[in-house]
Amino acid sequence: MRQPRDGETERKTMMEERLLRIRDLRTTFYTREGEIHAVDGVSIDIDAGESVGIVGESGCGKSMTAMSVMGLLKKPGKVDGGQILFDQQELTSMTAKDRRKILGNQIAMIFQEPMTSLNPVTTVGKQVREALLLHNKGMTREEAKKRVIEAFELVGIPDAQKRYSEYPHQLSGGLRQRVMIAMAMACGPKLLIADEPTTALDVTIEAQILHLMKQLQEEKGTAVMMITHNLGVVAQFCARLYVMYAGKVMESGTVKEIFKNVCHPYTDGLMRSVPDMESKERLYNIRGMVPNMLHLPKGCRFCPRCQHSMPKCFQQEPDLYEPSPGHFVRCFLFESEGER
Amino acid sequence: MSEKEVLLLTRDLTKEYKLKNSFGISKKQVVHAVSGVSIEIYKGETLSLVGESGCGKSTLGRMMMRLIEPTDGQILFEGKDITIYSDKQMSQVYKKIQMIFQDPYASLDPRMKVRDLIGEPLVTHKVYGTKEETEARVKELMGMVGIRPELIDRYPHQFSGGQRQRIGIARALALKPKLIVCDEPVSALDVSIQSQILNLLKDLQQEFDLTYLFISHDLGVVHYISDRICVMFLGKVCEIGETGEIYKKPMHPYTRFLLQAVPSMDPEKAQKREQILAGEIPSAVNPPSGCRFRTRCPYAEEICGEKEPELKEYGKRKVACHFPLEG
Repeated sequence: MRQPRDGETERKTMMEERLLRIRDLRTTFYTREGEIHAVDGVSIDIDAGESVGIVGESGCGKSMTAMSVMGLLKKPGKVDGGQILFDQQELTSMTAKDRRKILGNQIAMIFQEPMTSLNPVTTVGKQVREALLLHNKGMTREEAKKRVIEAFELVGIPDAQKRYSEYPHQLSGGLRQRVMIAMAMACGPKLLIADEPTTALDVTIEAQILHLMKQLQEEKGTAVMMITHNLGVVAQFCARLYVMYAGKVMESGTVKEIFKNVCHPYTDGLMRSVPDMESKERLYNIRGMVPNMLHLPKGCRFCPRCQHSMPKCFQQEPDLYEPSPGHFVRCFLFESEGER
Repeated sequence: MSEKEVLLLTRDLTKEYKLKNSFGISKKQVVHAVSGVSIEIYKGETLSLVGESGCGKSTLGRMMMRLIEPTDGQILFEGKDITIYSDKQMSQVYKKIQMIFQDPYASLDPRMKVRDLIGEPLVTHKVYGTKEETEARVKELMGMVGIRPELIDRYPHQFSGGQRQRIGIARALALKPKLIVCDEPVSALDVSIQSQILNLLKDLQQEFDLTYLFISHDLGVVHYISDRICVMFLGKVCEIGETGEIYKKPMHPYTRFLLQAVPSMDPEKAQKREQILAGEIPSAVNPPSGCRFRTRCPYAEEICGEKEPELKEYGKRKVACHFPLEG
C-alpha cells in the first residue's frame, strides 16, 4: 500500500504522474421536469496504485461520477463540462470506439449486485474469457481459458476448474462477486472502479472480499476508486477520500486526517450518525433530508440542514478551503484558513 | 430489567421446508430454516436477532407472529400457547404484536392514502365508532412519528424512504401493541435517515413501554438499540445474552468472527485487522453434523462433528459450543 502523501507541494510535483484527473466534471440529466445537475463541478485525482474512497448518501452523485468516467451514462444523462484525463488521455472527447479500447482493459468496474451484472445464460468461465479475448487479439481460446482459471484461483474461487463451467445462479453471492473481480482484473487494469462492491454481501463475506481487493491492489499496483456509503469500508480500505453531497465534493483529504480531524459539518454529522460498537450514546441526527436536486437551496447546499449555518451560507456558495495541507473543505467556517 | 417478566417465549421452535421439484413433487429434501430455538423475550426490552443471510432470523421473527406456521414447537405469548390459536383468536393477538418491515417501498399499498394506511388497523378492529375519532387518532400517530398531520391525504410515493418508514411505524403503533417485531427496519435507509429512525424507535419504546424484537445484520445498529442479543447461525442459536457483555467478550467463535468482520470506523485500527473467517455459509439442506458452524470454525475438533453442542449457561448468557472462548 502507498503511504498517503501529506504536502501539497509534493502533490503538485506529482501532477504528471496522476492516473486519473477529473476536473470540474459536470453531468446533467435533462428531464421533463428540468435539468438535474447530478455531478456539479467535481474534481477528483487518483494516483497510480492509490485507493480512493468516494462517500455519500443516495443521490449525492457518487455513482454518476463513476458512470461518467466509464462512459456508461444513459439518456437523458450527459457529460456537459469538464475533463476526465486518464493516463494523459482525455476521455470525454474520445470517440466511442477508442474509448472501448480503454474500458475493461485499462479501467475496469465492479458493481454492487453481481447477479444482475453477470449473464445468467452463459457460464461464468466463458464470460470472463470473452473479456480477455476482446482485449487480447491473437490469444487462442485455450490460452484464454487457462488465464481465466488462473484468475479464478487468484481471487480465491475453490475448484476453479469446475466453477469455470458453472452458471451464475449456481454460485453464492460472495463467489459471484469474486467472479466479477476476476473479470475486472483479467486484463490487468490500471484503475478499478468499485461501486458498492460489498453492500449486498454478509459481513464475514464482505471482510473476505475487501481483504482480497486489498491484496490484489498491493500485488498488482492497481488503483481503486471505491464508491460506498459505508464509512467503515473507507476507513479500512482507502488512503484518501472525497465526501460528496448533492453533486458536489464537500470535503477531501487523507483518511487518517479526516477521521481524526473532520471539518465539514456534513461529514461530521455523517460520522456521528453511524452507531459504533463501543458507546451507546444517543446518535446524532442530521436534521431534515437530502434536497430535491431540481430545487437546490440557494447558497451552500447543505445549509438548511447545517447546525452552523450563517446568513452568508444562504446567499453564497462556499469555495474549497484548505485548513491543513491536502485537506479541503467546502464550508465558510474555514474561509480564513486560505482559499484553494 | 429488574422484574424480568417474560412476554413471549418459544420452545423448540422449528421450521422446515420440503423441497419440491418443478412438478410439485417432494424431493425428500428438507431445508432446515430454524431448528429447535428456545428463547425468551422479556417485557420492555429490545432483543436482537443477529446473523448472516440464511441464518433463520427473519423466519424466526415471522414465526413468532405466526406469519409463518412453525413445523414444530410452541410459542407462548403472555403465558398462552398461541400456536394452537384459530385465525379469529390470532386477530386478537395481533392487537398486541405488530411488525415493521424492511422495505418501506414495498410494505405500503401505493393506492392508499396515509389516512387509510395508518387508519386501517383501527377500522379493522373497530377501535373507534366514528370517522372523526379515527382521523384524530391517525393525526396523533403521525405527530408521534414526526410527520406533519396536514399530509394525511397524501400517497406513499409522495414521501421519501425515511418518511415511509415513519408511516410504517405509525401503522404498527396504531393499536397500542406490546411487542413490535422489527425486521431490518433501517437496512434500506441512508445513514443520516437511519439514525433518525433508530432514535425515534428508542423514544417510542420509552414513551409507550414497548418491547422490540429487532432483526438485523448490522452489528453497529444492533449494539445501539438492543439490551440483549441472540446470535444465530444456520437456524440455531449460537450465543444469547446481554449486548455489552457479548460485544466485549464473545464466547462463541462465530460471534467473535462476526464482530471482527465489521469494518471499524477508526482507520488505524481497521487497517490492521486480525483474523478473517474463511469459507461460505453451508447449505441449510444438508447442514454439517454436530455443530453447524464447525466447517468454518478454526477451533473445531472431532467431538464437534459428532455431538451437537447444547446451549449451556455461563453466568448471564448461554452459549452453544464445546470449546467456548475465554474472554
